[in-house]
Amino acid sequence: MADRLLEVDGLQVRFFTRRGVVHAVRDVSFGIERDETVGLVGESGSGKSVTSQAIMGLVEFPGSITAGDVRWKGQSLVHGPTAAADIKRIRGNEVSMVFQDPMTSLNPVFTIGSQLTEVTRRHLGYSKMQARERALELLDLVDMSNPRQRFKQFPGELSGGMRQRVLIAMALSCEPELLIADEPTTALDVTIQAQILELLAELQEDLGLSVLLITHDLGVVAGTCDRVCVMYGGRLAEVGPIDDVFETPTHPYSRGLLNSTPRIDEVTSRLVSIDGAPPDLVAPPIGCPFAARCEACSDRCISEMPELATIEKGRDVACWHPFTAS
Amino acid sequence: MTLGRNDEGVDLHDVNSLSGDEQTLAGISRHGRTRTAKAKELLVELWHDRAGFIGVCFLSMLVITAVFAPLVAPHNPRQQDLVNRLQPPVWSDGGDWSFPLGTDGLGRDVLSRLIFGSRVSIFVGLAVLAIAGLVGVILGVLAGYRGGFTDRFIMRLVDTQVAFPGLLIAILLAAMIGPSVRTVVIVLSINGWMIYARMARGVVLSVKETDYVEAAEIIGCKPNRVMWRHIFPNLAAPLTTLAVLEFARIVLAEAALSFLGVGVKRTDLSWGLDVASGQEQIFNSWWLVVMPGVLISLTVLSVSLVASWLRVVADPQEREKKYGATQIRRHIKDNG
Amino acid sequence: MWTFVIRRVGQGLIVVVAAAVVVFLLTRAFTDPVDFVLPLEATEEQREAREAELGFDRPIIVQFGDYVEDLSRGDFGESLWQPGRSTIDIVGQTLPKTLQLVAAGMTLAIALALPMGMIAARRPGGVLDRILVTTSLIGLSMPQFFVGLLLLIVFAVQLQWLPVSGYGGFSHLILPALALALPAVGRLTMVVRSAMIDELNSQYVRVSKAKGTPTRVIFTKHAFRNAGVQVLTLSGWEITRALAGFTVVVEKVFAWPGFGLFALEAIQRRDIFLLSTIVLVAAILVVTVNVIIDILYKVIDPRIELT
Repeated sequence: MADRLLEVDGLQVRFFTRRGVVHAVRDVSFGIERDETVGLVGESGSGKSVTSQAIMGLVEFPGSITAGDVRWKGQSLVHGPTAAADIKRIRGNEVSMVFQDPMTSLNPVFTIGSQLTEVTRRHLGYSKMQARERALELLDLVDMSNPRQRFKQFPGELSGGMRQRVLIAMALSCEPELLIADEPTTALDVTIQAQILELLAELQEDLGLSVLLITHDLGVVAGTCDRVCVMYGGRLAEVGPIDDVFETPTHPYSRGLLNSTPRIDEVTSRLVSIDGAPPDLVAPPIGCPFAARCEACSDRCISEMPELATIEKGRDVACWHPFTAS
Repeated sequence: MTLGRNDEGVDLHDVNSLSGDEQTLAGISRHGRTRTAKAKELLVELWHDRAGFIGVCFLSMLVITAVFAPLVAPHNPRQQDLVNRLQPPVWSDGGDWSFPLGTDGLGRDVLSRLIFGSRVSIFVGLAVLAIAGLVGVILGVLAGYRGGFTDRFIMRLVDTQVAFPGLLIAILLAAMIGPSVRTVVIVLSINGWMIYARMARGVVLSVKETDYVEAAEIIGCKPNRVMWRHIFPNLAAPLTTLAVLEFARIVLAEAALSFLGVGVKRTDLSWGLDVASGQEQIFNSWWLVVMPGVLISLTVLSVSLVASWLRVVADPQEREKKYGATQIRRHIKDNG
Repeated sequence: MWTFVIRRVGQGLIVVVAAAVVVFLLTRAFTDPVDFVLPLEATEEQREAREAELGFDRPIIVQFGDYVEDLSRGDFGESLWQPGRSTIDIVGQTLPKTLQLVAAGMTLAIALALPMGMIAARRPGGVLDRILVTTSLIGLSMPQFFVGLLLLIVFAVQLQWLPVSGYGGFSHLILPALALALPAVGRLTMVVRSAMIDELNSQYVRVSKAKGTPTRVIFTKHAFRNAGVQVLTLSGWEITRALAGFTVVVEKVFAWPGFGLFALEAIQRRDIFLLSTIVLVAAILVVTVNVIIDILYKVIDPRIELT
C-alpha cells in the first residue's frame, strides 16, 4: 500500500439533466500503484471517461461527485478544506492527462511553444529560456521532427497525430507520476494509433510513469497494460491482471467483450456481438446492470446487485454467476 | 452560433418529420393531441421563465391598448387644453387623476398620446418586418438555392449595403421623400432586409448538405421537392427569433427618426416625436421626455426578453443547462 | 499580408464608389431635388427657375457625368445654406468634433463592457451575472436620445454638475460621450459574455485546466484571445454605427456641433449638397473603420486565411 499513488474509493458521479438524474458512475473503487499501467475498459456510456474526469476534478456542470473519494498519495482530492487547492497544484504537475480529441485540445490562437512553456513556467517556475529548452527537449522526446520549427507553429498547421504528440509532450513536461490517457488514439488513423501507443509504452518504461489508459478497445489494453478494470453501466464488472482476464474472463460481459474483439492468435470463424443495448443510467436496474444482456441471467441477477468480490488473489468480479477457470 | 442552432433545427425537424409520418398512420387525433401537449409545455415553460412571461404580458397589454386606443384613452390625444397645460403626473405635487401622466405644453394628455403613439410603433414594426423579411428571405433562399452567379451577386449586394452608413442613408432618403409613416417603413425596410437574406441563405446551404436531402437524391427523388419541403420548417425557428429581435431594433429606429424630425409627420402621434417636443420643456417638465422614453425602453426590453425566451426554447442545450442548475441546487440543499 | 491589405482597401474603394452613386441616385434620380430645395408653397415658376439655376433640368446622365467629374477633382459642391462656402469645408470643420465624440464614447464603451462581460461570464447564472445581464438588457433597450436626455435631466438640470449642451472643454464632452457609450455598453457586454462562455466550454480550456493553468490565466489569456475576434467584430460594428447614425441623435440632444448636427441643419436649410457630402464622408469613414478591423483580425487570429 505504501506505493499506491491513486486510490478511487466508492466514487459516485451523477449528472442532473432534464431527463432525470444520470447515474454515470456508481460505487467505483480501484487503485493504481507506482510504475503500473492500468486499463479502464468499457463501451461508450459505461462511465470510464467520467471516472477519469472525477479523478482530475474536471467533472463538468451539470455533473457532480455525489459520494466517495479520490485520494492522491493518501490525501483526499474531493473532501477537506485544502482539496480544491491541492487538486489545482497536482493537476498538470504530478498527475496529467491526455485527451481524446487532439484537434480541439490546443488553443488555436497560440503557438505550440507558448502552450508548452506555459506548464513548466507555472509549475516549475522555469525562466523563459529554461522553459524553451525543456519544450524542445519534450518535442524531441515524443519524436517530433524539427522541434525548433514546430515550436513556432500554430496548432492549425499540424496534423492530428502531431497534435496528439504535442499534447503528450505537454502532459509530460513536469515529469508527472501518473498519466491519464482518455481514449488517446480514438480520433486518429489506425497507423498513427499504433505509433502513439508505442510512444506511450516507451515513455512509460523510460520515465517510470504510472498510466491509466482509458479505452473501449481491448486490443489496446492487451498490448500495454498490467492490470485491467472492466466497466459496465457505471460500475466495475471485473478487475484483474491483464493476462488472467484475457485468459479466463469470469464476468459474462468481459467474455462478451473479448469474443467481439478480433484476435490474431486465434482463428475464429466470426466475431460474436453482444445483443442488446447498455442500460439506461437515468433509471438503472436495481440488479446487475448487465442482466438484461446476459446469457447466464437468473432471478437473483435482476433483483439483487452483485458487489465486487475477490475470487482469487488480485481478481475481483461483480457477478452472481462468474465463469470459473474449470 | 447561428449555424449551430440551424444544425440543431435540422436535426430536430428530422425527428419531428419521422414521428409525423408515424402519426399519420396512427390517425389524425394523436397528431392533434401532441400538438396541444406541445403548446401546453411551451406555456408551462413560459411561466417558469419569469422574465419572458412578463415580457409577453407587457406586449399583449400594449397591443390590446393600441387596438382599442379610442376606448382606452381617457382623452382625445390631439385635444388642446391650455388651462391645464404642463400638468405634472398624478403622483407629483399638483397632479391629479384627470391627467394620470400629466399634460404637455399645449395641455394635451400624455397618457392618451402614448396610447395612440403605440399604434405607429407597432404598425411600423410589423410593416417593416413583413417587407424586409419577405424580400430578405426570398433573396436569401434564391442565393443559397441557385448558387453560382446569383449567389455571388446577391451576397455582394448584401455585403456592400451592410458596409454602408445605414442610419445616415436612411436620414438622407427620409429627408428627400419627406416625413410620413410610409417613408419610415420604406426607409427601414431598405435598411433591414440584409440580415434575413444572410440567415435564409445559411439555412438553405445547411439543408442542402443534410443526409436526408442526399438520401432523397440517391433513391431518385427530385431533390428540389425535398429541399422545399425542408427549407421553410427549418427557417421558422431562427426566423422567429430574428424577427422578434428586429422588431426591437425597428421600434428604436422609428423613434430615433421621428425624434430627429425625419420620421413620421409632425402631426402624427409617435413616441419619438413626443420626446422631441418634450425636449423644449426639459427644464421644468421632465415627464414629457421621461414618459415616452420609459415606454419605448419597456417595449424594447419586453421584446428582448421574449426573444431570449424563444432562444432558450429553440435550443435544447440551453434548456438542459437551465434544468441542471436547479437540480444541482436542490441536491446540495437536500444533502447539506 | 500586403496583398491582403491592398485587396481589402480595393474592396473598400468599391463600396465608397457605390455609396457615391447611391447618394447621387437618391438625391437626383429617385426623388425630385427641387421638392427638397424649395418649400412646398413655391410656385411653378420659382421651381423652374431654381431647377435651371442648380442644373437639375439637364438629362440625368449629364448631371451624373458632372457629379463624377467634380468628385474626382475633390470638389464636393457649394453649400446652399452658406453660399460661397464649399460643403467639404463645412464638413472639415465639423468632422473633428464628431470624431472626438465617437472616440471618447467608444473608448468608454469598450473599457466598461470588457470587464463587465468577463465578470458575468465567470459564473453564468450567478448573482453577479444576473445583475450585469439585467443592467445590460436595460441599457440596450433604451433609445439613444432617451439615455442622453436622462443624463441631461439628472446631471445638467437637476444636479447642475455639467453643462447642458454645446461644444467646449472636457466637461462638455462627458455627457454626450456617456450617452453614446451606454447603449453600446449593454450590447457589447452581452457579446463579450456569450463569447467568453462559449470559449470556456471548449475542449482546449479543459485541457488547460488539466494542465493546472489557473482560472485567471485561462480567463484572461486563453479564452479572451479567442473571444476577442467576436468582440472585435462587434466593437467595429458599434464604431461604424456610432459614426453613421447614433452621433446624429446624440449631437442633436446636446447640440454638439459635429457633422451629424449639421446634417440635420442641412435638412432644415434645404441644403441638398451639404447633406450629400456629409453622407458621403460618413460612408468613407465607415469603410475605413471596416478595413482597419479586417486587418486587425489577421493580427489577432492566425486561423483566418489571407484571401
